[in-house]
Amino acid sequence: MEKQSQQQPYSREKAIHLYVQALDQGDMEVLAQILDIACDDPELEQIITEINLAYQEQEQLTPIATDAEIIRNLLRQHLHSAFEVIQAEEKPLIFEDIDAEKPVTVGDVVKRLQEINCVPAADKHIISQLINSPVPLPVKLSIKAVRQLAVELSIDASERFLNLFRDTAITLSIGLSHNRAQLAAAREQKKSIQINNRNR
Amino acid sequence: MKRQVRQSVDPFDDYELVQKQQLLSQAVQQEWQAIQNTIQLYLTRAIKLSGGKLGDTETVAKEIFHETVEEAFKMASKFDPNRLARPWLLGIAAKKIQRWQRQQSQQNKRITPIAELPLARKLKQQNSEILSEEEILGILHKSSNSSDPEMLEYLLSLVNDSYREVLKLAFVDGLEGESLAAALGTTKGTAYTKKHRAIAQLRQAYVQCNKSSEEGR
Repeated sequence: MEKQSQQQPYSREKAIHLYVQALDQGDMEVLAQILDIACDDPELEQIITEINLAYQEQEQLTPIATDAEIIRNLLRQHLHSAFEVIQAEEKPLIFEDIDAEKPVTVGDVVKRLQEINCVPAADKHIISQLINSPVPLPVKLSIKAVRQLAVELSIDASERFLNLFRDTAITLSIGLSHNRAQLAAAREQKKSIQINNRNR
Repeated sequence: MKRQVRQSVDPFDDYELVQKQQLLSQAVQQEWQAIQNTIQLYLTRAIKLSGGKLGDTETVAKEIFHETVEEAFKMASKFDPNRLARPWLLGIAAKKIQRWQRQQSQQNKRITPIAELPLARKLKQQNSEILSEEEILGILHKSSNSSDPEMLEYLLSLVNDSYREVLKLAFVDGLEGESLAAALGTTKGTAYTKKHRAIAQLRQAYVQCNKSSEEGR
């Protein structure tokens, strides 16, 4: 068993204990305190994510369906600078593993779902089935199209998984096209700077 | 004579702020589904435990998520890029939910009397005065590490069968995380939840037993 630090005995264990208790008691103040500790402890943060997923299943909460575009508009609204042209080497982390020139594949979406720990327990078997799938996403990402894709891929997935798959696919697709635009703009900007320098 | 403090705008501060905002923006882009779903969970727990009715939690969760993002960018200068962004954002959300709860109870013009608070909260208030989390964890670790099987057996006898199994696997067999989840046949999250609910039950039972034996003297 992992030994706790001698200076702060059971500190992580105590934090987990308080977090579970706070969730059981709906105590937002304690939750906020533990989350503050988790900001400096990636392992605790990971455990908290696992606990949240367990509670979500227990409470039978359906993931909230939000169009990824709404999130992008929200960010645009509050942060103009984040959407300014960035240099090619400063690609957002979310797309670092995805080739900007290639279309997003089923494998990319499943990989992302696994990274954010969003695959429902009953659908875990799908990860190994599809993580390397080179099948490109359908052009239109309606829930009907995602269901059709599941049939074509011969996977037995829950409705929750299909919804999560769709949301993630939309996020990745929009993000990637935004990234492509940024890269193109950055290249364009670099080109014009080089031309200006030459003309001087 | 007082020296006048010159208020200058340091371009480096601006650059730093933009960087922090970009980091937060990336975190939101990356994690919005998980953050929004966690807010919905927190909200559901808060409403259930305060005895309220679960109405349209989805809409409220979305509103709180939007407010959280807004607040996060407003106070981006306070964000330390060396810290994790997701719990930082969730911490803001938890405080927003707390504020929302207060507003709701003000609207209802009703203050919940202590007697009506959930039993668990009352017990927590009583227990915290008697036995801290460190103490019960200390007792458990000490009795499982030392050669005191009688104490451990006594502690395990205080909880119900399903919790006894979890405590045995965690403190006698030393299982943790994935290995504990595998032994229980659950996910890691459920295993952690079960283990800590078992510790909470043990803490209550231990306090009760000590209280009864002191009263019997």
